[in-house]
Amino acid sequence: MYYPYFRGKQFELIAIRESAVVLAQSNFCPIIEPVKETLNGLHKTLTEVCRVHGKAIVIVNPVHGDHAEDGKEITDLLTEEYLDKPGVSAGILLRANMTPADALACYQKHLAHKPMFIHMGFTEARAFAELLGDNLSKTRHAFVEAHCGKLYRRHYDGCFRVLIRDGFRKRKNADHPPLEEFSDLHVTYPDEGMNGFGDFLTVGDDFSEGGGPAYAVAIHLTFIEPKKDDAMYIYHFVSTTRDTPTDPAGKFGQALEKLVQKYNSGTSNLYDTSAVKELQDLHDKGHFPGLGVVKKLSMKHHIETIATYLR
Amino acid sequence: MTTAATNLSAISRLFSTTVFRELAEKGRSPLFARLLEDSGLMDTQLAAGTVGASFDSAFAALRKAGGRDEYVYKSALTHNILLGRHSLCTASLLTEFRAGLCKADLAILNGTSTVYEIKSERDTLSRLENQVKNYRKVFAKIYIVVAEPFIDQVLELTDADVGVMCLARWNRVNTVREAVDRADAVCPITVFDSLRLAEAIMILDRFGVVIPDLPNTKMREAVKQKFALLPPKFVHNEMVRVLKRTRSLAALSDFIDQLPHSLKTAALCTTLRLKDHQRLLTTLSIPTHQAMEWAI
Repeated sequence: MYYPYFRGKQFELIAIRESAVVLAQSNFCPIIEPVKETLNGLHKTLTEVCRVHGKAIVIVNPVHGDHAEDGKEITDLLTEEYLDKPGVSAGILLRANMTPADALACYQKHLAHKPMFIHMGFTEARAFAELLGDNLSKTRHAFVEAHCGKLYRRHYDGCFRVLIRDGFRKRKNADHPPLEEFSDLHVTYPDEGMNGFGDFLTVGDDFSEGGGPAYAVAIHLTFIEPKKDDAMYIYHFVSTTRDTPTDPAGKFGQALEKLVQKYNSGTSNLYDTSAVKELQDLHDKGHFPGLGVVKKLSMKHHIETIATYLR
Repeated sequence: MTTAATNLSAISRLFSTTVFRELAEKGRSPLFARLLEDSGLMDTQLAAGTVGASFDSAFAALRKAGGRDEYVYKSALTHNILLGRHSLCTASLLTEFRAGLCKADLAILNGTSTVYEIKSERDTLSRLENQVKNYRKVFAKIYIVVAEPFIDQVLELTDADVGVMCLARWNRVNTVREAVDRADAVCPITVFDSLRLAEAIMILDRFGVVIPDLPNTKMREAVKQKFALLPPKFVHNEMVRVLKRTRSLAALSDFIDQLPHSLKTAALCTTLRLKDHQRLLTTLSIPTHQAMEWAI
């Protein structure tokens, strides 16, 4: 099944909250890496996930953002609020600088939360698998493809395994092509011997805090291309004006115009998701809701597209 | 790099926005501890003092001729002109303010607008011509603030209405050539591109222009069309009036008063959340030997 990986900034958390029902009905499980100091937004999101009987994995040792040095507050939140909620489990990032002993210690500490390992730069695949011993087959593993080759993943044969591939190519907004391939993992993950697949949605693995003013505004929308064996592609609708970092609202208007034209042409292959409806509505009103909302809509569209495809 | 060069580079980076922000937002800065270690300034006296005092010591080393970086120049300008000649209540400071295709190091608004382009002994003059061309479109007066060896070159490179200043000692700014006020020569469209929409609307409002009722994706372009028709001198004078209000730093007065001398300029150039002000003051009072443990 689908495991979208979110860096839990404000609009990522809102996207999960607003997609909670779709996620739950499709048996999807978001992986959330909390990056903001305050955990209120995370708590609200997890409450909603539990209310609709959904699932979520919360990273207890983030590598990015305000909790990168110490994830204690996240562990505390899980222990205090979510021990009796089976939908919420812990995620343990396995990073380059960790030893198998570190990883095992973290695993034992969060055992009550049925942890999943997210392999992201860790180099001791064999040693750690041996260290897990008899417990190995009961553990769950997600592999970020850029860090874990087939040989690496083989050490965890027989475990529950998920492959995460970043389909989003990071560039300056102005440099995106109008259309490109995103990923085919939603079709091919069984061929890779995997139980599930994941991605970094339409945001990408690169983490940046805030970021400067945008010279161009882009709306990223994914779609399934039936003519290409159902591979997933992505449209980048980019504003025409891109010489100054001013007027994001006007630039959004330009990007939205391109999107609506494509959609109305009837040849876009875009699914008619709640996000597409909302974008059309914004087009009718000529309203720019802010870049955060635009990103949120792009993520919601992506989730609903995968949900519709797999239904 | 030689030891001296490594030291100087570390001292210079102590006054970077990154260090300043970490101290204010997190109450600790591993980078600060590492840079102070690399600065070659550490001794028992410094270790016994506070973090705040160590910044003053670092600044004393930085301001010696030869190594002065942009921060020393900014500091001299803000202390002499903004805090000396004017005050935070009557004048405004703009840093990194967009002017056409450039960004102005420092501009001060009082009765008129004055932009200061800093060319320290570490800079080259290669971008100067283009910078002056862009600044003319937004500001009434332009001053190039240079290290002494640059004076003749800059006088020759720039038109007679561009002012030239020189950092004589670390804290004294001498005027070599007065700038001429050319408020009549600004470009309304370039000014518009530097302003927030609400600021541009205030200016149009003063001229009696009716603002159309449009959705936000159409608004800025429509306002720009109207703004382009305003007379340059009016645009300039209203820009000064409006920005002095919307970008006022008067609220920072008390906070600035409590900071060590060497960090006042950093505080004027970096926007912090109100709740981080007190945290910064507390962090600066930590003993330096204790702060050195952040490095680990």
